[in-house]
Amino acid sequence: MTLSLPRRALLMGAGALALACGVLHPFATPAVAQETLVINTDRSGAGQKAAMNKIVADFEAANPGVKVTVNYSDVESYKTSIRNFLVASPPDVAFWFTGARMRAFTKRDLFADMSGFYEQNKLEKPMQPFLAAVTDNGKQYMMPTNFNTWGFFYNKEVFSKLGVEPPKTWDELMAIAEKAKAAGIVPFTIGTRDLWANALWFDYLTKRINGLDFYMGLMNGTESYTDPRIKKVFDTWRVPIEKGYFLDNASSYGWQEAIPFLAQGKAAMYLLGPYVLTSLPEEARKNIGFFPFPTVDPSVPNIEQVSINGVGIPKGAKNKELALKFLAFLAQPENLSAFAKGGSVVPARTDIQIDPNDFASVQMEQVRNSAGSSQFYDRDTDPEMAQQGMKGFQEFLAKPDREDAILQRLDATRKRIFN
Amino acid sequence: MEAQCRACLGWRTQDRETLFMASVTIRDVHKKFGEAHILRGVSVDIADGEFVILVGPSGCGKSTLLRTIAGLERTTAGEIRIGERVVNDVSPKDRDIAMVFQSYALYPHMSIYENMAFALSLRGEPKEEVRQRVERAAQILGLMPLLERYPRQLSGGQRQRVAMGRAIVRDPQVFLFDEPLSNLDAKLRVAMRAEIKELQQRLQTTTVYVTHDQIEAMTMADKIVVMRDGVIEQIGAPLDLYDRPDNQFVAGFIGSPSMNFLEGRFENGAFRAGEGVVLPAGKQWKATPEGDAVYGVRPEHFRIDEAGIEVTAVVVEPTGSETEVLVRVGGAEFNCLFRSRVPVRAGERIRVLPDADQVHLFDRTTGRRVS
Amino acid sequence: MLRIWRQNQSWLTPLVLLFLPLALFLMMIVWPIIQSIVISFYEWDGTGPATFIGLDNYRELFADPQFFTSLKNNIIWIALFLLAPVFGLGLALFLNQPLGEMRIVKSVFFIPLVLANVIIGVVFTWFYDPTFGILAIVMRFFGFEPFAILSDEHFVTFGIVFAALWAQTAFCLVLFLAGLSQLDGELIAAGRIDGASGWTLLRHIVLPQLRAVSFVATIITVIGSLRNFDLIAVMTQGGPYGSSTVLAYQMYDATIFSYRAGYGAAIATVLFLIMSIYIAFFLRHTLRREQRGA
Repeated sequence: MTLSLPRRALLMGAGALALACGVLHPFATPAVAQETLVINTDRSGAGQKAAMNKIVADFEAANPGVKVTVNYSDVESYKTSIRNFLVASPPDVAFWFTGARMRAFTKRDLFADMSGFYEQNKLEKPMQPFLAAVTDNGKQYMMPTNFNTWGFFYNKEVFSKLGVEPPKTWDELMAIAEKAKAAGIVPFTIGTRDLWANALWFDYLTKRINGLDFYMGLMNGTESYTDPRIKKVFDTWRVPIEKGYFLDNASSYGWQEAIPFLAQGKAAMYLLGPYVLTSLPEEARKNIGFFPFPTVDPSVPNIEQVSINGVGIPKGAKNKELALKFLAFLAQPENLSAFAKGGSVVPARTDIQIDPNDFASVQMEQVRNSAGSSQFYDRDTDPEMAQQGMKGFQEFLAKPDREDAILQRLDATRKRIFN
Repeated sequence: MEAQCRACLGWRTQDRETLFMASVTIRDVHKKFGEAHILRGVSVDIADGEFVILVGPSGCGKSTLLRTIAGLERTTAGEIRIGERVVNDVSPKDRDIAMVFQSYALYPHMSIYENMAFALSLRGEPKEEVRQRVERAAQILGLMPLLERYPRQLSGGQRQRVAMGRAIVRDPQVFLFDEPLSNLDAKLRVAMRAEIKELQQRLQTTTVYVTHDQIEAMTMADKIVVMRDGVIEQIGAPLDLYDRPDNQFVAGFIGSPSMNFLEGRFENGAFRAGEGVVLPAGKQWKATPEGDAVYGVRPEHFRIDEAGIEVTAVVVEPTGSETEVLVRVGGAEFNCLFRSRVPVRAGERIRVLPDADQVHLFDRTTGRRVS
Repeated sequence: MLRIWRQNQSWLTPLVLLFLPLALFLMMIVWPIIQSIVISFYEWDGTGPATFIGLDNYRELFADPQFFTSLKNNIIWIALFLLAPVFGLGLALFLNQPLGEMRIVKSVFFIPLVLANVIIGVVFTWFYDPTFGILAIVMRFFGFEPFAILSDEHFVTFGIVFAALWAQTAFCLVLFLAGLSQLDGELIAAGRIDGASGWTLLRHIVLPQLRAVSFVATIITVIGSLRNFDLIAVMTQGGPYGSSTVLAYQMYDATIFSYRAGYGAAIATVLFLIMSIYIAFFLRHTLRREQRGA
């Protein structure tokens, strides 16, 4: 039996019981004369914000009578508010993640179909590699803006003090960790309070030990968390945990709060994305090096983690025409390039020449060498599964001996969700 | 007689050293609140069993004096004794006193019984003993049917009575009353006045009573202490104060309607208060020096007399039993009170004469009695 | 028309005056509660179509170990949070002295009141930071190994409750200070003359006069403890691995992160029932006391 209630009323009802205000966080949509365009975005780092403001100013200059309002929000609170504003007060343009996180909304009919957009603006070709990530049931719902890869950021000074070079294999990585530990330096800094940073270890180890097919099966719910192959992942992961290579009390820190350990040389490495760089001042950045996740099993190809971000038009947008016009404007190579550069990420166009000195070229290189890719645990699997899974990983990092209980719990969740 | 009465109430424990010796002695007491000097050297002797009333206009320090006796305020200087004991450093609960407050201060969350039993229970008296004493006090005050009620269910008069019951149940050495009747209506006030007086006479407990109402003071007190601005103006029995006030303030404060004052000059055996206003000198004024002075005469001490001075009636207020007439002569106005119906109408001229036995002369600058 | 109004004014006026508050109450309070309870019988992601599943959400909830962790934490919250009125009263008694200097001290104690809970959460997170936090620095100074309260599944709830207590105590302090300023001075004097002092004066004379304030402070504190969620969201996000989650946070987590509005509504309904039972009990208790006359 199905039931269709007025959405807005229901959504309010759900939250109203005890803490309506904590849950609802609607974005303001001010009314201005003539044509207005409202953009909600979580790309609020200084670099990307500056680039965005310039693009918006240029767009306004090119389209007299258009007033653009950009609502910036930090990433974590954007994640909690987007579902409400897509329903209750949809902007004209909303930035978001692609993949499963986008599909969670397209499944609920919250993003507008923009399939014709690529052909009209001749973007099918330059954006070809990213289209799968924005496609659901053969239709495109977002425009990819940029992507980024993940890997180890390390403190160059610490590495030279230890006399080590970036590792190529898991064993080499463990050897460096051992050395760092002996020198009183935390080998791996990590902040798991907001859960997701820890999922990188799980993603990489699963893909590097069991291959992409198994990983995707797990994400789609067809493979089990109690599978011996997962057991193997956890057994590998357990080694650095039990040897004390990770930052103590990781769950006391948010992902950003763990960065200073790396920058100050108290920790040697941090498995994360380019946000490490954008979070640090220019000076400190120079001392940070990068190497991709090392090979774990030589018989399994090196699969990278490539996360694609994009921008879409909510189904309830008031000014879809103008929104499409803006996306086309943003997609212009120079704009997309500036926007990506602001975040040390890579623009989602194959025809853009990347500055070889920029970190984007490193990421580009990583993608070229990869035998295939997935996005991220919480973008590839069901949102609830992702939430429960990441809690489990957090627990495993603190209490590795609870492995069996955690995995059994996760598999129960998987069965319930994907049944 | 008094011992008998106490014995019949049976409250006082016989082994108490200060048996029946609950005098209160106040010696040169000062009280300052920061800069404000509220009491400036007050001395009063209160004998055992005496009913003393502190009276004065608001702000005169009478309540503060009562609170220092109670121990609710500490003295800045001076000494207070209850019986033979100096109590300056004794806490209120150990002074063996009971106090009735203006607001009655009944504990709103306790029943009438609990209110009255509270002090005894805190002292750890046996329950049965407490019950008997509360019931005896309740009987005296007619509170028996109210014991299970709560203060908010009682009328003002009943609350007043409970407040007294709470005080007498403890059988203290001294009762302190802080304007206990001021929240009652006029009729009830008169009734309670009599009741308090009667109760005090029955119990013969030393009592200090504060009021701003001089009628209360006159009707109830054995001894009145008139205070103003932190000093005592006069101490004496009610009629002494009425008959021979020490100064113009006491003269004006005691008696109702209050004394008339006329400024002028005393010379040649008469008092002249302006053109043609010549008032007779008092009979005992032989030795009184001549000069500028204030002539005081109570309204009730005028009579209509052909030998008197001619005045114009301005306001005539007949009350049935008496007639109050405001009269004017020259530039002066004063009240006359006649104990009979007087056929005078406003605007008419009459002749009035003060009783030479009952006139007072005060110094113009110090206000002190000179006659 | 005017005549009809005049004739029926006596019962029409209250009706007209009651209309707005009643309508608001029904619309803003009663209707959402009913909706939430209805939603709790559906499998619903918050936006799409909802499927009726009867009591399945509740069945799942009562089999969910997280639910019992949350419930346990809620009980810890209530128990410890009730210290706030006690501390608040103690502080108020201490601060209620007629000294000019006390004003400054009082305003210092009011500070938590003007801070948003989110800020308190952030500040306490820094305070507890096992590397750079003041607590860690102090512990190291005394030669102890810093202790990561927010990462320890057994102590994390106590750490958050402590931060919440800090703010709640200030709230109760203000209530009690207001109550103390309303005290009847003659009543206190009467009590002192009757032989009460110190503890007996407080117990028999002062506290009964503060009963209305204590009632408000207690009920607000308990409700505050049940719905507290912002500090948890800021300080631990319910972690580590759900060990500091309470029902309110679990509801939020289920609704917002897991897109399970039906399940979230079921948690909300349980929370609502707990609150209702508590409030009913509390009201009955006080009404009875009122009836006894006090």
